[in-house]
Amino acid sequence: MKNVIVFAHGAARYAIELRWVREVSTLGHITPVPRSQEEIAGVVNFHGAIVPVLKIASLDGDRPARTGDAAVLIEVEGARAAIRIDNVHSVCTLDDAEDGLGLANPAGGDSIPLLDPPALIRDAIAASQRLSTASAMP
Amino acid sequence: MSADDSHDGFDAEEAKMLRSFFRDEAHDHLEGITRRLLHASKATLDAAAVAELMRATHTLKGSAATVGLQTVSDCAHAIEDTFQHIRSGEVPWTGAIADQLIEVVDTLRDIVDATEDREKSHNLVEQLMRQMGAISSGAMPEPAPAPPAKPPPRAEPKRRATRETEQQPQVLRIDAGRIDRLMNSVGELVFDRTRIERGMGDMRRLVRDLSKTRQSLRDELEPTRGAAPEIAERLTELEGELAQHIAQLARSTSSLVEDAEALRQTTVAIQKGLTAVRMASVRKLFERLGKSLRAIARAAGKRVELYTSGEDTEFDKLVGDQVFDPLLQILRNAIAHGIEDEDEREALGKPPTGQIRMSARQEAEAVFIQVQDDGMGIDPGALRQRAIDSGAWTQERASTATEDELLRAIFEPGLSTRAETDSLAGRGVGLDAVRDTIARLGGDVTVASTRGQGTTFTLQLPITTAISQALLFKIHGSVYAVPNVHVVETSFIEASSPVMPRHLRRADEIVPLVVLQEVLGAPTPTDARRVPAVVIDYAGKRLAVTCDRVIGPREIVVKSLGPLLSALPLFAGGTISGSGKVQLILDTAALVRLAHPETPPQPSTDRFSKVVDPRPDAGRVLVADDSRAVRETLSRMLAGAGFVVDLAENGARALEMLSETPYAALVTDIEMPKLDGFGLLEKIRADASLSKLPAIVISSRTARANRDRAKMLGATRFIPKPVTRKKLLSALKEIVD
Repeated sequence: MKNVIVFAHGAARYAIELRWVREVSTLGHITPVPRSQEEIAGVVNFHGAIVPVLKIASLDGDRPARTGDAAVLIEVEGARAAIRIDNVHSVCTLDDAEDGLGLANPAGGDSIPLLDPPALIRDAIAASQRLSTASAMP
Repeated sequence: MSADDSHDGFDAEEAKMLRSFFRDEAHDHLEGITRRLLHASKATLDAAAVAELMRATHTLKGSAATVGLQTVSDCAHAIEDTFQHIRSGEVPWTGAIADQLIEVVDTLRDIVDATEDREKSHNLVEQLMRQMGAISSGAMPEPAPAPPAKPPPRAEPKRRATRETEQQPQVLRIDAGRIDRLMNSVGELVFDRTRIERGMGDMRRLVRDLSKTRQSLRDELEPTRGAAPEIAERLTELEGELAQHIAQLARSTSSLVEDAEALRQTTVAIQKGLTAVRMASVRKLFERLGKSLRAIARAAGKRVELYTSGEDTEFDKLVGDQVFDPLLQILRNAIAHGIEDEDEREALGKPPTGQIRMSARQEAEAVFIQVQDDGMGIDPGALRQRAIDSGAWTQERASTATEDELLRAIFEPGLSTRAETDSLAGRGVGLDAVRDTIARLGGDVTVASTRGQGTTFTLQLPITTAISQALLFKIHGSVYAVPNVHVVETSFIEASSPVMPRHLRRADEIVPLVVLQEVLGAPTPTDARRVPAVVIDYAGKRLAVTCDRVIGPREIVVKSLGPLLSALPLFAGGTISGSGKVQLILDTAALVRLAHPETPPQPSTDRFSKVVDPRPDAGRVLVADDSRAVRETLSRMLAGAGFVVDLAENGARALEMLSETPYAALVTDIEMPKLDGFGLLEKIRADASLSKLPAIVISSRTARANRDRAKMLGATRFIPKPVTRKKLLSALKEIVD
């Protein structure tokens, strides 16, 4: 059994397992980070700490995150990031059978994709390291 | 266990005190033992030395038991036994045994420090027993840890550990993350306060505006008195009420100002308190380095003695963690390139064992760590050749370089006095990485060397990385910061054409110009004829970067960008502005790499610009005032006129800064904590090197007596508060010219 938080993003629905979610909040001023990896929309002040805002192509294809958007703060092994959302749709429990394959949309229709925060964070870190080595080359 | 029982009679405070005495004493003994083991010749250990070693371990055993640290006592007992076996010849004396014993003593040192941590202490005791087992079985300590040859000396370490934990005075072990979160909350508090202060400014303006409105009302009222006396009378009443309300508002505002000041002081106190919690002495750092040094020396087949001093010097634990690798690299270099072989040393009339001295001391807001070896020193000739051979320098540049410049060059990538790859010093990071790490921390590293006598590396480190002085500037709507310590000046560049030049001509040098807008993907200035620029000096390399607008110096709280962004080379971290926005801190080392790629630029084919400074020779000015608002105001005024500004919150701090950095002028308040403006003037006039420093005194105490006293003490100018930009700049212009 897994608890997931389902949020709305435009007309779409996405889900994140609750254990990665720390907070749902409003994004403050987003400071762009020049020359950063594509996965990063910028950084925000989150209770005095600097937190990157993740850009997820499948979610943000329509428009980038903006100040004042709602966001979920996720944390994986000490690495934190914010993901823009439109609003929280619901919190529900998943059977293990549904694990990783997306869950059935309670409202009917297509199944709701389950985001994988550890993979998102891992990919973003790997991308920053690629940038770092690339710039070290003459 | 009578020692333990009698120990129970002490209360927690007494126990804490006694154990802290014991720890100091134990460290002295253990250091003595290590020294003696290092001194002992490879072939023999004379009877007197063994006796001395046994005496020291015996004393340690006794005093540990007295303060109830039975585990420590048992370990000391086991070591004493081994010395006994060496004396009787059961364990043969060799250089390897000496090294193994040194490691055992190191472990015991850790046990002495870890008595509060049950699990750690238990693991360390096991480690020590493994090491002891290896000695008695004649095995080499590494690589595979042998199973304990002996059971722990007493079969009840667990119970002991519990007792010791229970008896420990109240020491809290706190996760560093918790402290960081508290620090963040205090940071928030600072921003809240800034917002309140801004609100108070608005209220003051409102009082002023209302007073003006009231005055207009009176003026308008006058002519109507004759025409409509009744209305005039009613209006006069209302005007009186308005006056009362204004007065009340003014009073409330003033008391709010006082409250905000109290809030400021409390915030500062919490910030300082939290910083103090994160402080740790350099002892642990030195001990870790000492251990590694012995392993390195052993691997290189060299004998080295390490002398340390100033172990009680404290700095932020985070700084300590980050300087370990750089210091280790410096030690590796000392062993690989500095300390000569034994035969060579003897031929030179040096003691056969190399000596390395590591010292720490605090000066003002910085900690200095020095690593000094008595080896062969750095050969400038070899370095010169190496610079040419590696292609890093042209023949011309190398032949005209001074010794100082050559020495600084050892921090450049790919430069080392030995051509062959060296398994010892070539491993991991080079000296260029050492310099970069130190700079990232907001510090500096310098080297001095005397041929044949040795080399000294000096690291200047901030006590805490949390707060630092930075210069802020704006590009395309975003604010960026660079460490103020690397800023030489801010100025404007002027090019003869609208095309951005790539070099900048300063008084007697040409420096590369980095158009930062391009680097950051922002629109480049459309007209290059007057663009603000910041001149930066980093590890002896100059460069200038352009920006849209210089904001001025600020005290900033440095924060990490987190694991997702920390690998990015361009940024060293971030900070949060008064309005809560994230501002990025540029990494000076990365900027230098942009400006100084491996091949030296060919300036002769390039277009030049020249510095047009609104104030020729605008220099560095120190502002001392205990009010942050005043400091910020003055620094803006001065930075706008091209001065580089440093800030001090009291006279004592100002005096320290004056002794460290040359300034073109001082601007000081009179009433300040610790050392007031009069005291500061007195001190600088008494100091030969500062007696001529132009000093402007600013004060709201404008009485004749104060002005006279300031003048008598050597103030160059006196400006009454509030200070206007015009008064300040014209006073500075007069005196600096």
